[in-house]
Amino acid sequence: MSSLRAALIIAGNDLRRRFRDRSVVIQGVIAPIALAVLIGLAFGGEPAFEARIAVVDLDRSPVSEAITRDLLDGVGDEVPISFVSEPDAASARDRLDDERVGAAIVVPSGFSASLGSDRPLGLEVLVDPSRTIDGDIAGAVAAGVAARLDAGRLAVATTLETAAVTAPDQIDRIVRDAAAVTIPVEVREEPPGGEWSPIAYFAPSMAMLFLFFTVGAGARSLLTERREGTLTRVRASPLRPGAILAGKAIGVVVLGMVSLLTVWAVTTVVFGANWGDPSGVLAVIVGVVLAIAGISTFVTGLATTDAQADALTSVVAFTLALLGGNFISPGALPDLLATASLATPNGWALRALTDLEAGAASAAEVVPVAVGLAVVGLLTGGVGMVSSARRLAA
Amino acid sequence: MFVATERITTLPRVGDPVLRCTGLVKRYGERTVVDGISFEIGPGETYGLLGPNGAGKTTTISIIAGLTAAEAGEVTVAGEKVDPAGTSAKRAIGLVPQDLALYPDLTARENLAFFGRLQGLDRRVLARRIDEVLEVIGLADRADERIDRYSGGMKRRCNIGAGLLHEPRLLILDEPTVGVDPQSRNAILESIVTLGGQGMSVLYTTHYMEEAERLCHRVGIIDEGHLIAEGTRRELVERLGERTRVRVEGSGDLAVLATHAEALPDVAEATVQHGAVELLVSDGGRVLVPVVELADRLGVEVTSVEVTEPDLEAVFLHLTGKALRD
Repeated sequence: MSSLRAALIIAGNDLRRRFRDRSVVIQGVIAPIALAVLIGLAFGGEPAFEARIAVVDLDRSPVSEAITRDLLDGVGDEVPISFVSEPDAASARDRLDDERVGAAIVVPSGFSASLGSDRPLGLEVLVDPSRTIDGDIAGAVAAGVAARLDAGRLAVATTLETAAVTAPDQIDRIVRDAAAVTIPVEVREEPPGGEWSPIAYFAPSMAMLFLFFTVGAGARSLLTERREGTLTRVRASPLRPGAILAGKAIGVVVLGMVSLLTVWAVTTVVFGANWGDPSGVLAVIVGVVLAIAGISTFVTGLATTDAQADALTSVVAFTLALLGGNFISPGALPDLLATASLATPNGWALRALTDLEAGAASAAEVVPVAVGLAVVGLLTGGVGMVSSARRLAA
Repeated sequence: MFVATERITTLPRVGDPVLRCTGLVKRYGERTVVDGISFEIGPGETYGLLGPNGAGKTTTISIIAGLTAAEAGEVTVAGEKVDPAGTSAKRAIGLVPQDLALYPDLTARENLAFFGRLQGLDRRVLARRIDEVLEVIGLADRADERIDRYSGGMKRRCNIGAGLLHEPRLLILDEPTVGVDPQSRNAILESIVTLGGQGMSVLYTTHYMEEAERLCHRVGIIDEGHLIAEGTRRELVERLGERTRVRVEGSGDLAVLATHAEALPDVAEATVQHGAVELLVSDGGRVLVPVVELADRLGVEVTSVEVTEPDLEAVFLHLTGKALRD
């Protein structure tokens, strides 16, 4: 009998036992989908974040009134940013201290008059250091306003220079017209290329987390079989040791593929989620299954008992899931975690799947990620298998 | 408990040995657990490997089955050298491990099918062999039940069945009756006798001396990694000078009977103990008639005669200084 046939027999037996044990269906399919739906509902399909910014007009000029009026009119219901008026800087600071606003934009006294000078005054932005996102938004809005005013100043200067206007009433009219020109400050929330769907993000995200356990159980089956005694009989059969390990590896990879493909199919058909270009998604799924199977095999190779392997797998799975951003919506990761996520295979896979979902990456563009994941899987899995083989021989 | 009434005598050696172990050595760290063990098993022979816990039996079996590499020595089965990385010799070996080696969540038929496929049996042969083996182990009517629903005895029988599927030349049974009820145990022993009768060579380890006496043509006694004695039961008993004990109860002058009996051929010693004459004889069968006739002549009315053959337990104790189940 060839080693491949022997490996397939062992893989088939493992898969039959795993699927007969309903825990694999719960772990590999039902739990990730249920968690993805729950997290999706928690987010309600809408971002949970809202920036609230105070606007203070100390200048009380037509220009400053126009600026504050524009801002207080809002930037649209679909954008989670709102502005409130405050009479002075002190009350804006009080609001910041009370955490009723996350930042404040102050139009300083003499602002309008300074626009005609060589050294115009700037808009002031007050920020709460603990709410950096609000501060960043307020800064961006202030920059947008300043850009608009710069455009107006440039237009007036150009007109005066080229039209040789000298009459005071003409100059006054030009300045008023320039001030009336509105360059809309538009803030839109739009992921590159399309809509962000919580279910399409969290389903693969949770599936990857649970993959550590479903696939890990397969990788640990060598230790489990040793404890249960069946490994002795398998080893006494006329097989090469490599065939046993290959059989286990094939079973693990097939199990992982079935799990992720089922989650993909169910979320697409039942929940209408769009994971993106199917060939790209398939490539990433193959890559991430190989990576997680390899890591699980590596972890199993470190353990001496299946209970020990269980504990190690849990630690590795949750650490990688936390670092990789499996529990947090994209873009909400703090900078440090966003960087750390790129050091995890599940983080790469999630980034690739998010890009595919948003249409920001083509199938060809995620192939290097899939290949990288596969390489991680083959390397870690190879080390794990060598370690397990040594243990078998001992 | 089994009585030693069905002892098998020495099997005439026909053909090359099925198993040949030569100078096996295995160490774990500083400890040598198998130290120069050599023995052979002929075709159709059942060989018992006896020894207390930790004597090296299971390690020896692991080396023979190709599960563990020996540091020195060689094992051949059916002429093929056994090697943990090799496959050819393993085809001739059927292993029945001491611990159950079955998947509890599969049925008996599914277990047998899986292990049969690993032996390389093709689909048609496998289907036939599964049915045959299920008949041999008496589980044909419960073949489609999961193993975890079986009694301990049924699991043990199925465990043996999995080792028989590919009709191995050598069947290795490592304490196959541990924890089995008497009825299942008897069924297991019967099936082993049957297999031996069909020409399969059997290597059998046990803690139960009566099983070894009932099943084995020859016995090897192993202690602290050494094979300290080997032979048929009679050879071992004779080598140690153990004698048959005959106890004669009756009414009359027992002391006179003892004195005269001591003069009979084959009687080594005669004493009166606890209201009976105790004789140590070299052959219990030959001495019975003369003793009863002597008692009749001396006016002693014999009420009962009990013959106790010397057993392996005594031999084992003599050789190792410990009981088999120590």
